[in-house]
Amino acid sequence: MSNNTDSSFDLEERFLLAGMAAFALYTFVYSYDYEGFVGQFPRSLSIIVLVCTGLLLARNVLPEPLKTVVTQPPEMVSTDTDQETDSRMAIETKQSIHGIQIGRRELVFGTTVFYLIVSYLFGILWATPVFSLLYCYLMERSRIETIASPVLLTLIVYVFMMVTNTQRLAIGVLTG
Amino acid sequence: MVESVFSSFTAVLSLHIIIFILIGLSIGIILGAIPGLGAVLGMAIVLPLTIPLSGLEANILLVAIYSGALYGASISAILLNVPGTAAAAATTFDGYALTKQGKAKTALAISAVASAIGGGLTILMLLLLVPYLSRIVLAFGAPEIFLLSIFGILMIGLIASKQSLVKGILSGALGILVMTIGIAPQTADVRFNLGSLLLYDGVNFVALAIGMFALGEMLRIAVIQGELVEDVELSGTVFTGVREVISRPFLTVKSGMIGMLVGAVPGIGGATANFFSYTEALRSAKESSNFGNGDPAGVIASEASNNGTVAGSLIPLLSFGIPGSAATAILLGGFIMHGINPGPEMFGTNIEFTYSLIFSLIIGNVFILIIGLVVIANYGPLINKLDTDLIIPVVIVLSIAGAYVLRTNWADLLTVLIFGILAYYMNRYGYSVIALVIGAVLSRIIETNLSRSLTLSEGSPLIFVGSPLSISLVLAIVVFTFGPYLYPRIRNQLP
Repeated sequence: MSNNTDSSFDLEERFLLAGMAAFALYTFVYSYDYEGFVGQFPRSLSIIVLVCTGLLLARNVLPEPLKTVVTQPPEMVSTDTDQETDSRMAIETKQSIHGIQIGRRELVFGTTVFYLIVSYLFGILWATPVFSLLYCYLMERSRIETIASPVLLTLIVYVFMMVTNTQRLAIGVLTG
Repeated sequence: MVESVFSSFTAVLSLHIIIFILIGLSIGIILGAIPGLGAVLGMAIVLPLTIPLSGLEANILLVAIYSGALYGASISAILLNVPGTAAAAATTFDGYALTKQGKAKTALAISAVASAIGGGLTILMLLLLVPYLSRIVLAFGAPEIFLLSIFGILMIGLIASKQSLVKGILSGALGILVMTIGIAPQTADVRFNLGSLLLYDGVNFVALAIGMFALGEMLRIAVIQGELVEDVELSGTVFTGVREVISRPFLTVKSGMIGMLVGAVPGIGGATANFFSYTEALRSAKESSNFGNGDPAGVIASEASNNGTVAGSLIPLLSFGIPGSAATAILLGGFIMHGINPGPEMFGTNIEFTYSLIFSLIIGNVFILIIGLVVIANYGPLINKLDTDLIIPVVIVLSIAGAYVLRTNWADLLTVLIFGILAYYMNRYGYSVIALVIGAVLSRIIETNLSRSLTLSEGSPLIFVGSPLSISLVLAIVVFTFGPYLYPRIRNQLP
């Protein structure tokens, strides 16, 4: 968890806020295509989002009382989310793949994106064993797990397909 | 009414419903026991699988996961000093101390009995409250429901955003805004769909929840390598644990009731309840020096209260469709997916559904007791030996397949990916993921009730201060929004 004091206003957080602001700006501009309440409702919300992202992006240059409201936590009790985050072990670990150091999170993200692309092209049912094999290989799992995991996961998707009667799980844009 | 109660009870006793309760509890207990997972993840990935089920079966399965996870969280709290979820954080104080004293089995038995009694009694209390809740619900019109929704989101945003009120408001507003994509509730206008048919029906709430709670969580726990724990020796006796709880009936009931009351307030869930209850147990104890060093009363207070929050959190959900936590937001998603509308209908045409849900929780608490004493007290540590590297691909596959079967729309998979990444970064920088999800699930309710209110008043905002109830809600919003900032200043100026 990053400590958001003035000096550590992370570049990643700026991108996060900029993304939110861009979405709000889009909805604000296009809300004028709709008459009456249908346009007013998203417009009001986009203004709230734009004001909040603006305040957070400009928090280092805000006058002191406003800065306190924007950057300081209110004096309230803690909740589920606080400790859900805190109780987790968040030590960055790297996975060595054939001598190359890769973050485990990037590995999970990369394989997930790969899984989505292969699913889109060939269907989720056929992409699942490929994803599973790749994941186990990259995570350097044992040979038994590398073989068993694709079988088990494909079986899960197959059962999913049967239970929900969704044959399209086996169809992608190239195979449909 | 008696007829409805009786037919609901017999419906819940049917074999297939019992099996759904057992499946849900097992999933919940396992996910609750693994630090970093929990009820929300389980409910999110199971939700699409409930498509072929009836509304009752689906939602009984979901509440069983919810209830099971609250109990399951105590297992790792007692055995490893790491709570499965924050709702069991206070259990670590005395639960882990008991494990260190060689009384792990006793502590697990205390947790099972206290959870079952606390959860069961509060659900019974809810059963008795149902006839009165319907009268309260009828007092709420469109302006009051709109204000209550805003109050709920603000509370969650305010409390769950660890760093500022603005972040909380931003998260909630963004959640509402995202769900304005697609067909508007009042007219046939299609908003912000980028001219694509894929977004014609808007962003699917279940896909959004799967992205935020399943993929987002997997990206977060990806840093944990291998098994979560070392071996734990199971010693002590189950019988002693049962006796410890039975000999403290007042504490168990009081803690359960604290949980129920705290759980009924949007934004404040099991995490707060277990600390409230623990502090109260400590305050009222005749001999408090043993608290923190393995006092069974500490485990009872924490566990009875966190399971009591289930009954409490169902009150605003069933009555107004206002979820007070991430788990109840997913449950609301389950209601909506199966065509069940919370509100007056839950106490009228859908009264049997309401009673059945309540009875399933009572039966679920009996199963928690049996599973806890027979299975967990003897084999609990095995759950904590699950390897995160193997959990991650299972969750990802279930998330992707689950999101796709919702509407066989590729846009839903993009939704999972985008909101998974968003959740990861929002968590990283202290933005409330829960506020965004609750904003999203309440978006339609807010828009519809705001539109209806303004139509009734011919555009005048004075309708929001037109009744004592709405004035109270406006005051509550103002006090809870600005109070945390103004109170310290006022306190400092007092002599």
